[in-house]
Amino acid sequence: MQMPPPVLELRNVSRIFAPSGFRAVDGIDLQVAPGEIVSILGPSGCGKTTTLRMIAGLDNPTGGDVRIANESVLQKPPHLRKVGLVFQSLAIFPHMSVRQNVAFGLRMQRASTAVIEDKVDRILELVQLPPAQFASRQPEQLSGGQLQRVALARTLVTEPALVLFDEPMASLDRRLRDYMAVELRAIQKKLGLAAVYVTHDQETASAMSDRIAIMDSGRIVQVGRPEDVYERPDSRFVAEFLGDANFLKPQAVGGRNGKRRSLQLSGVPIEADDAGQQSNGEPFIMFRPEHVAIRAKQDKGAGLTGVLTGCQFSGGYYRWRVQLTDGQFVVGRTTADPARGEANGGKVWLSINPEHVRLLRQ
Amino acid sequence: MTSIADNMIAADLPAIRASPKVQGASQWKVAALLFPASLLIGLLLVCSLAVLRISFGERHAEWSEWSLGSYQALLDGYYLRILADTIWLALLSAVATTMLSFPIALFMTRTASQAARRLVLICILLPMLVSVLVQSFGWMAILGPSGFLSQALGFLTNSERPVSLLFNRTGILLGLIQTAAPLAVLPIVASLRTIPIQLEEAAAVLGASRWRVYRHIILPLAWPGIASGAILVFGFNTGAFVVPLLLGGMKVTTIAVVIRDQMGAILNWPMGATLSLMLILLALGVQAMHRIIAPGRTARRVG
Repeated sequence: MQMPPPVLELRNVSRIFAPSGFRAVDGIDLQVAPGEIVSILGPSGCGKTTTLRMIAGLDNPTGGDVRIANESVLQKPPHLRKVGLVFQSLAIFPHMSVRQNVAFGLRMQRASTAVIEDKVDRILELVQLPPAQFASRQPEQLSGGQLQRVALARTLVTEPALVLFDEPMASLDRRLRDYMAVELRAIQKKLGLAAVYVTHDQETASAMSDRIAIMDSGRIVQVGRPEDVYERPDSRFVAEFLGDANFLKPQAVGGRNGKRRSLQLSGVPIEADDAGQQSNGEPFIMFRPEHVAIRAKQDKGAGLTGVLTGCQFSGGYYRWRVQLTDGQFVVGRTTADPARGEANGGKVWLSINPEHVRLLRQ
Repeated sequence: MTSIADNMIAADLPAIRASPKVQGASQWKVAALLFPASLLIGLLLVCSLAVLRISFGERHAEWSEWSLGSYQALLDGYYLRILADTIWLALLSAVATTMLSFPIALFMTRTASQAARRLVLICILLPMLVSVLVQSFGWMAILGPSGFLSQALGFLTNSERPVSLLFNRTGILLGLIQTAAPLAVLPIVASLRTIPIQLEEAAAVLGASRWRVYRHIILPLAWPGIASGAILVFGFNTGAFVVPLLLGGMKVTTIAVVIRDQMGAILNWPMGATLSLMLILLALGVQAMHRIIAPGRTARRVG
């Protein structure tokens, strides 16, 4: 099957800031296919916003190539790149009404008044700001969520080949953010947009994207579907960044069977997938809290024993902590109240789903 | 002057806007704090009323007699022409100063170099610390028949007679522009500083060329500062005295110079007072205009 050419292609893109020699972006490669949202996820200062600015033309790479629709855009100023950018600050023009804000891009394209009217009305309907009610409002009369929609409409109305999002929902409260994420995803699917979404919030990234690129210190350290990256991180950094995880030291690492390695944890044999990190560091295993089952009595497969040392209900599930017999702690998450093992002085049995255990190295 | 002052300090004192409601005993404190300012304003008001009274007085009997003589003289043509001349010079200087100040203000807000910004700020502020008299003598040296500007112009136009820029409108205009420049630069800087760079970037990504970013984003948002600057320069220059006196010789006069003559040499106080009143009315009129041409819309409104 012939793959369509990517909408966006970053080839070994770097950005080194002049006096200090700081490598904000250090040779990254990334492709975005038509209709695909790729999130760039990373802590602040990892270079994700710089990457986005280089795609938009607001900053210039010191090395590599930025290609949009199979064509290098390095020589093009921002206003000729035909990308859309939704800013973190939203950057709504304060001296223009909602209609004027949304019409701005079309005016710059010198579209006719009738076309502008029509497109603005339709896009405002799409982002659920009925034009009859909202078009003539001034930005200061809008709530945060409504400003968000104006920013989105203003970007989408010009039908850009590629839309860039720079954490536009960071300032919204959590419920509104979740709601907007779902809505944005629906609009993106409906219009078949290709998009790059930059964020440090892994939940939004997972909810929004077809693929996630994890960035750390100017490099992309892992790319993949959200569930793949979450379940099979290639490094401790990725594992930690995407959510809660247990990191435990095995006593012994045994032979290899394909990617599977057998090892011993707290005196019990278990198996893990080797992430294949090129490192001589000390090996450790990683698994997510939701992949541990807890029992009050010995069960088939529940070989690890320990003592329940803490449990709290945190809205929808219980988070608990068990100290294994070798002294290490395991954190778990279950929807049911965990067995507290009161009958045997707090002793519980754990079973870790072997499918979800990873072997990593420091 | 509230909105002009607002624009001048807005960038530095954003936190002052929201002050808690004053109540009870602290009202006395507020009154005490306002006392020195009220004294000053009160004095100004009394003086203005005295000017008003004298303008209706008889020459040499300003406080005892009543007369409309000086108002009749005003309508006579001679004074009106000078008044129109003064307004025209102030208007030209306001437009020119504002246009020249905008790029300077833009540089001051945009340059990444702290040192460059400081240097420009010092160059802008320094004239304010030097007497206008000294500045005017400087201009006389430059513009006079043996000044280097006249020499250079004479050389370029290959003319035998030195081109004098002194004692004519051009000379006065140059002096007015230079001495008033800080009044335009500072409010424009203050208003430019309130425009987040993201607004420009957003406009650029939406397809606006550099020029159209200025046209549609920066100019409208900086407009309150630009208008404040222009109005300050206009107001300052309608009352300009030293610059037209020295650079205009006696060939070109302005209202302030004529007032000095009436009050001093001629000792016609009612005439001087009437002309002073015209200046005061002009200043008030310009203030009223400010509300119309610079509605208080700034980039600060949307957070």
